[in-house]
Amino acid sequence: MGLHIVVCIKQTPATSNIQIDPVTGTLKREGMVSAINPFDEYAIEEAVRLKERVAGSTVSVLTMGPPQAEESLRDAVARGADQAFHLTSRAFAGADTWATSYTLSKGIQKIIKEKGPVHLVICGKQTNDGDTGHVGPGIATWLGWPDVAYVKKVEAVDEQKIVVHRMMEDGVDVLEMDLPAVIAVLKEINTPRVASLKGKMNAKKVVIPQWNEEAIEADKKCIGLGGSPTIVSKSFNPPPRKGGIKLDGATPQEKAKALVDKLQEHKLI
Amino acid sequence: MPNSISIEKARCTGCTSCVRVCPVSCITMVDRDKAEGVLWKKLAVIDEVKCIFCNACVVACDNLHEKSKNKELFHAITMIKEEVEGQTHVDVSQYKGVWVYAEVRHGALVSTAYELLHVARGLADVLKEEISAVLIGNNVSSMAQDLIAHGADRVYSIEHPSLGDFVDELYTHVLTDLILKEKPGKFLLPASIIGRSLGSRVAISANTGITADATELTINPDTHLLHSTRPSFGGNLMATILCEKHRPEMATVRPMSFPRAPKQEGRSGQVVPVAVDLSSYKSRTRFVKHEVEQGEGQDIGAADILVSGGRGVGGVDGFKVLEALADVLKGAVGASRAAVDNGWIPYRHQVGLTGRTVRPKLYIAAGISGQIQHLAGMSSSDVLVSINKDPECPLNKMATFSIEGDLFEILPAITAEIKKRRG
Repeated sequence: MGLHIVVCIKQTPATSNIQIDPVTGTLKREGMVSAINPFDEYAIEEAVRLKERVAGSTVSVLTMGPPQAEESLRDAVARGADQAFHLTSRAFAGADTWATSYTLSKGIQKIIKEKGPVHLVICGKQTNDGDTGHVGPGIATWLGWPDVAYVKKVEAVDEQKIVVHRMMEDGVDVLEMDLPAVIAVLKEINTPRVASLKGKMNAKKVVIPQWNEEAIEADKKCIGLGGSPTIVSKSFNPPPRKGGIKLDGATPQEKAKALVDKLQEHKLI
Repeated sequence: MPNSISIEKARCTGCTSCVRVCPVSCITMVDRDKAEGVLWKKLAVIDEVKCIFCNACVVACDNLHEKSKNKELFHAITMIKEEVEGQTHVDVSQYKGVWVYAEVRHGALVSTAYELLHVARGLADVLKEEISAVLIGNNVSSMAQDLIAHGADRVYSIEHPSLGDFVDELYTHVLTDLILKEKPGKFLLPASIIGRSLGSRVAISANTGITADATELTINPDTHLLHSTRPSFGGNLMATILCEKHRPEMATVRPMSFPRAPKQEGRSGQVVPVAVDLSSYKSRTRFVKHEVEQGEGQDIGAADILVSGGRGVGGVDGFKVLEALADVLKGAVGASRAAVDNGWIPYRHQVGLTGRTVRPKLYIAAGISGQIQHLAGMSSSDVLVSINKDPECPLNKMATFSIEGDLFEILPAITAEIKKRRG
């Protein structure tokens, strides 16, 4: 039997690549490379680990994005996922977290229809570009499933239930959920492995279905920019932080004194 | 018709204003064909496949048009948004009042409630509406009076033995019921672990939009719409988000970004107990237990003062000088990704893009060069101090106060100096 796990990923600008223009303080966008959202790497790895824990399990990976996002699905297969599905259509563009989680939930329902029941959906904690952390809980709500976000450990899992540890500001919560369910995972949960040679071979030959709004039977009122309750009314670069004062002194003690003077002036001590 | 966006070549000066505001970097500058005989060397080209139709570039270009004397220039970008037929919108006039979610975590009220009450006061005064706070938990009604003293006009108290600890689906269920019944206009939650998890579920259950992690919230006095401004890309791009046609307009608010509402003794308000019947509700989530992590120190997200270490700290033992300084300052210890990835300090201390976002009054960075991923998590700190051997590193260049030197000499000297002055 085993588990059928769906990992939802997003292709985002690679963080290792982000640089700030020293003159304007704005993002340098030239030469920005896209990659799997860093948090999603932990989601993929955790799914592969759970597959190794529960015999007979399958890992599917799902993304919504432009045609080039297929690269990230192949990358996920190289890291150990078995199959991949790509939700792609101009009609999906401009979606906020509400419409994105709706579209992904319809994609998951389509996977269920084609491939059989799904036990667990794993998302990264948030994306590095949107930074909301809303999509994982959102998918669960659309599906009518329970969810726990900020998961730092999967203590136990079988085909009926999962026990997870949630990071809290003041410690850890332990929760048990009946499956199917959704979890959103933290970086702390694992250390992603590098793609194996076998994985890379699989990634090359895997056939990835492309599904548009008709294929997933999405309500057109709920997708893309038109279906999103929120809109961006403006966006702007915040003024760059101005450099301050360099504190000098002949000895470390003198430098420390200069700083403590300043901290007292600012009533910080 | 589908969404479309186009650039009128003759109006584009190649100024790159649109490139700078594009949140998805779908605009590039290409060389113009010399044969065109146009003065400007560059021309903007938009990749329609990547475009999210956010309108940012249109606004940037139109602003230049307004300022420009030559009305033949700018106003170059035309965007046509798809109008979806048959969408049902709520009657927004029925939705009144500003609500805040007063987070109770493991039985204790979290101070973000006072920050939200401060924000709500600003909004409610423009709207001339009342402020309500929502408490969910077991034995929480005793906290209501405190919320009233801090500015709430009404407190909804949702109490049930099953609600003692935060369980996503159960809390969503009771909160959505209350929203659908009472119809608030605006609803603010803290952008905490509970607030973000709950906010997203509630927005979908209540069929409305939500903005994550707002750091600026205002009301447009004409439209009465909530303008929620939030950082994305780790604070390198700010976006103002509206929810025009759905109610309540929801937002999670970044903790530590606003002052706390002052306490006014004797302030009066109404406490509304909300009856909860969970007899027919089958929860599929069971809260097993809460564990306090031993020896973890103060939560970095709640600390007013942070002393953070990076690669320059060199190892587990290196953090001792940081802890000593944090102790005398009554602050918490943070870390860069490099320090966490090397196993010198647990993940919960990590500041930055893949860690936590902090906004303390004082942030002391020791041996952190200032990669953008780190800056994303702390660049809005009030006072920033950087100590590094390399005076040219990004953090020393941007710090309010920078010191060139060895952190193992400077930090103990600072600790000693503070102790000396305190006597």
